[in-house]
Amino acid sequence: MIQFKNVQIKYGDFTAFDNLNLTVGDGEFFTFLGPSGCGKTTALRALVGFLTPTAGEITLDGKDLIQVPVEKRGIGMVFQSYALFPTMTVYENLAFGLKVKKMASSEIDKRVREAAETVAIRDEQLVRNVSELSGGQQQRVALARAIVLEPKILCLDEPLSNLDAKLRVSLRGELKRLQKNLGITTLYVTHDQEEALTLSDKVAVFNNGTVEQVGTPQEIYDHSKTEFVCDFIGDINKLGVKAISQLNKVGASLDVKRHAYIRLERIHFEPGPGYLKLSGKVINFDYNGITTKYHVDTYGEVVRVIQVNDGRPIYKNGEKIDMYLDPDDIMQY
Amino acid sequence: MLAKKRVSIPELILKIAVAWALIAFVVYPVISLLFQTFWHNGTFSAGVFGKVFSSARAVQSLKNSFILAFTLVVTVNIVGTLCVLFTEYWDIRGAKILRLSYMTSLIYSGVVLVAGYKYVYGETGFLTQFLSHFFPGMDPGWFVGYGAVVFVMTFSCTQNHMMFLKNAIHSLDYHTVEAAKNMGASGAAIFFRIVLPVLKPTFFAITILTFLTGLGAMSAPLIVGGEDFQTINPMIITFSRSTYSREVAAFLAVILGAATIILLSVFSRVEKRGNYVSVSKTKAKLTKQKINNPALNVIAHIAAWLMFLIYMLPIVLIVIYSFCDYNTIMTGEITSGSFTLENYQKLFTSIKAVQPYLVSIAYSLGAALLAALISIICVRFVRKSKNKLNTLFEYGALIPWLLPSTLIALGLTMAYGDRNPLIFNKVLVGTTVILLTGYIIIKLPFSYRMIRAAFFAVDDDLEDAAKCMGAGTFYTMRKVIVPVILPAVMSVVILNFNGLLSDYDLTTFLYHPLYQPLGIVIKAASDENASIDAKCMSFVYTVVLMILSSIALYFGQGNGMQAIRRWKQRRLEKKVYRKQAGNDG
Amino acid sequence: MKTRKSVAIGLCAAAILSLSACGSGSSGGDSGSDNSGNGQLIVYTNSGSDGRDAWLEERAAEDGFDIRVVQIAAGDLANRIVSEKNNVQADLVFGLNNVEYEKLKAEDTMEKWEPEWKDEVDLSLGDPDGYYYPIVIQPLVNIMNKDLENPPQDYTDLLSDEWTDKYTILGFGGGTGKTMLAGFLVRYTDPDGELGISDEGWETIRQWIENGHMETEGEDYVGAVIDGTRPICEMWGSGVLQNENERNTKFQIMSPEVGVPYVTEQVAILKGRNNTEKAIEFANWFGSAEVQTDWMNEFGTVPCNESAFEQAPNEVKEFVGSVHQQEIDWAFVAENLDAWVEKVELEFVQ
Repeated sequence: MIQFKNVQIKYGDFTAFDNLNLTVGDGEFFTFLGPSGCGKTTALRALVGFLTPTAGEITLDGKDLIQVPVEKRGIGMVFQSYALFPTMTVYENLAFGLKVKKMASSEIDKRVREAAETVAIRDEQLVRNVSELSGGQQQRVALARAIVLEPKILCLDEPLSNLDAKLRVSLRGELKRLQKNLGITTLYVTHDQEEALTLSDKVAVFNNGTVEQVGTPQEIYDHSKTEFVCDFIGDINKLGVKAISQLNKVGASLDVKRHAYIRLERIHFEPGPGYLKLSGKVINFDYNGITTKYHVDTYGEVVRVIQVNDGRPIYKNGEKIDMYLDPDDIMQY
Repeated sequence: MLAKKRVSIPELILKIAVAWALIAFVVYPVISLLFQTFWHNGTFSAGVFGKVFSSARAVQSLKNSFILAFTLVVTVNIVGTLCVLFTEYWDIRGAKILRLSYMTSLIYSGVVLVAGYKYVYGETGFLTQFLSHFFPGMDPGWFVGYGAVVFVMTFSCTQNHMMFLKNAIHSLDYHTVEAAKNMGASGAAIFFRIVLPVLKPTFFAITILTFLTGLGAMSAPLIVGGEDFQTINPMIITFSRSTYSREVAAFLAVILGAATIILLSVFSRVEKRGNYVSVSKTKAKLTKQKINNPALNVIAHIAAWLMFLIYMLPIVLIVIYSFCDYNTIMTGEITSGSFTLENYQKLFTSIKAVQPYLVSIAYSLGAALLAALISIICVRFVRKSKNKLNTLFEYGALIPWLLPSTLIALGLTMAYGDRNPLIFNKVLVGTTVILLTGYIIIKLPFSYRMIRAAFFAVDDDLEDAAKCMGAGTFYTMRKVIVPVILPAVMSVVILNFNGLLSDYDLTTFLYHPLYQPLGIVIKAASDENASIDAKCMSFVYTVVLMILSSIALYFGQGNGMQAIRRWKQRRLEKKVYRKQAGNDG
Repeated sequence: MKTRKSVAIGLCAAAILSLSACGSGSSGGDSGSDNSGNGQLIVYTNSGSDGRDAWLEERAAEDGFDIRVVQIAAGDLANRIVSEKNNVQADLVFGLNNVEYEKLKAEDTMEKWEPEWKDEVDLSLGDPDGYYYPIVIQPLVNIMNKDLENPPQDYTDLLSDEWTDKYTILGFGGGTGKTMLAGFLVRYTDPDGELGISDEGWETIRQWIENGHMETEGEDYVGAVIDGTRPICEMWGSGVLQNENERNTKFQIMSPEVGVPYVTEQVAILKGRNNTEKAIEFANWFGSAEVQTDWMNEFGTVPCNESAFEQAPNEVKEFVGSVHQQEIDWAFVAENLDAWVEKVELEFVQ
């Protein structure tokens, strides 16, 4: 179990974060999510040991980690830049950490091959120089290099951000499978909320040096604690004052002075138990194969609605339409 | 800053050791030299000021040195860049041969090089004789003065371009060039907007070196400067040999040193403004660019091959002359009877003739390696530590640039001619170590500067990555960082090795009498007292030196390194496949 | 990891420490008490080029002396002996001239001694205090093209337009150029003048330099004399004969009425290596008539040893007979020479 307790990190005048508290359970896939510059990478680097906190403590299974030098922490890391050693072959890159540990060369060989197999690196790639590999292959090498040491904790700093979309999605799947198989406690830094939701057991949403919410993907998506979280995660409608007043007229009890949000898929075209009605007119729609996203004008405000194309008719622009929603799905801040 | 700082004991010991070495061998000798020369009986001697500035010759020579330095910055950069572009960037026919000829500036220097040019352009020179057939009225002594000095030095000082600019242009990401092309940029626009900016740090470093070379010019002005274009360094060296005139030498050197400080600080300020680190994750190899404009293409080819001639003629003549008798060399009239193998036979007649080579190789190699090692350590201290005090390591490593090597040698002999507590009451003068020390000192600034530039290009994440895989600082340096900067380090080591092989100015003060290095032997051969046979020998020595330097180049730069790397890779391949076969079986 | 780390540190530290660690394994050593090496005598000289060093080592070995001759350029030799005085590397020094030996004496680097052959040489050429003794004389002269008509008789004749750019003056960094300058200057001694030289003297020197040609590095000034492009040049004694032989030519020798400067090469025993007895033995051998005769025959030197000189070949006797020694107060020269050179270099040389 990893714990950040009241951790503060400052560079000169700049405070990266002031009072960070987090607990990461064993075997968890834990994601630091947030926009660029929010302090998530800083937190990760403090855990790995590249940064020393100005205050507070970081513990692993109750033992203080700050006094342990980087090279003794046994934390594996995959860098955004991969940081593969350009003068070495793939094999030498993988063997590097094992050689540091002075393992027997037969044992090194065995482990290197296992790790290579795990991430699907072929033998002929092992003897290649890392600079000869494509981006996706480099990413695999970087990952293999980290897991070959069988670390207790694996840290990944935006590892997929340099790859194309398709490769990103497929490697994401592999990463998840790998983590489950190996059972390594994994800390993952990303600014991609989709990645965070798909991969994580738990997500910490960072904003401006503070943690806004920690929870399962479902919790932070459906029950975002703060306006920032609900806005940052997924797609959402912000309801205007007119819509809120209209809903209050038909039975809701919303606070007009506060902001109100509702997820796109929580607005329906069919009534249901306890649903409230809101009428409007389609002004535009994006057809996307699986789903269609409608932009609907209601009382002079635009809300977006997503519908699965399961055989129901597609509404045309200008068509009048009735929308139904459960007031419990509205989040207010 | 960050709260608790872990202090690594080994690093601290190393830091103290390096700091002590810099203080004892760089700072203290320089300061004691300046102090002893300018401080007489408790007063600062100001007479030297009047002496120097009332001397028309000194003032003119100083002026000339600066004129030369500024001229060379322009001309050497142009010619050096062209050398690299002709051989590495543009698609020019015969680039491989051109490259070899342009690289000749790396294997010989000093008096012999200038003499080589004189044999082509001088009064009895090859080209002068040829031209006078067509223009009988021409002045055979045309190759003298400012123009001649600039010409010789422009073509002979491009070695840094051929080493460092060449490396830099190869680390260019070709995708950026393709991207620019794709956006419709012309060849010129790509070159000036995409390629040049990436090379900027390298140009900065080379420009500093060129400027310093110009300020310290010695052989070229002496030999082809004539009466109108003498520079200050020969005067400094003459004066520094006389105890009486040493203060004049030191004063002149301080003026040059001050200019150097100004230059360095201006450059480091400018340099801080923009450092381009390549952001490419997957770099593409450079492909040679075709010059699309046919006229320009023809002009480029003519220029490239003209430069080939300029580079090759002197060196070819030196090689030919090494097989000639003295009269041929002096008159420039080569006949069938001129050739002789005697010069070479003399070289190999005795073991004694071989000893200077061994001595010089040992000293030069040792000093080149140690200077590189110390520079790497200093660069790391300066770059990685958060304490501002560590910048002092940089100043320490750069100080020797401020004084000519003659004065550094004098400083060492003055500081350590007697027991000195700073070096545990040892006497350094008269030992074999003092020459090594001197060599390391004079090569430290260059090594530091070039290795620092190489360090800038290293991704910080590499070190972090190695650390979190459990590697300690020293292991990381040795296995990860140094291999990455190794090409630059090798270039530095080789340039230093080649430069030290035949050094005379510093060596003459510091060498151990029983272990005479090559520079001393060569100088003795060309001494006024030497017989004319001995004078022929200086060509032979030069040719052998060129061979040695070429071997060093081969191993450090060219195919030698590649061969070693290929061999390593093959070994690994074998290992991987054998294991696999074993597993399958 | 620990061991690797300490090995790495050890290497670095050793590299750096070795810079200081005074060559304990070298023949240097750091104390004056045990410096005698393996009994080999180390001989410093500026007169060992052109195979003289090897010849002398061989010749000495024949007579049972184990010596090593180290050739060091004249300009550096005295400086080196002075700077090594706390870690002396050589037992003897020969060559150099009185001016340089006076420097060595002032720095207390030599032993007082007396050669067996002191009655065979003109002791007035050496040191009245008995530190150094003369072995070889070098008259410094101007050589002239053999066909040069109406040659100048004295340096002062060179100042005329007739000889503009017709004579080469050797650089003042070298021994010959420096001593020739001194020989010219001391004609104008004036206790009230600048640096002991009268205004007239300085003016003459200025004209002499301006009217002539300063040697440039790498040029063949002897060739210029032979082909007549610059038919007059300064030359040291043995160089005259050596060049005549090697280039198969003859020179005219300028012989001013006041005489020409004679530089006398001396031999002295250095302090501090505990080899004094053996060194003196060698010096006795080296200065003896027999060895000096061989030395003369081999390298065309002019020995001080009178019985050796009697056996000189005719050309040597002829050369020495064509000039005579200029009266020079060497103590005065030694005191001022460096200052003169500096003044001339700064103010007169272009």
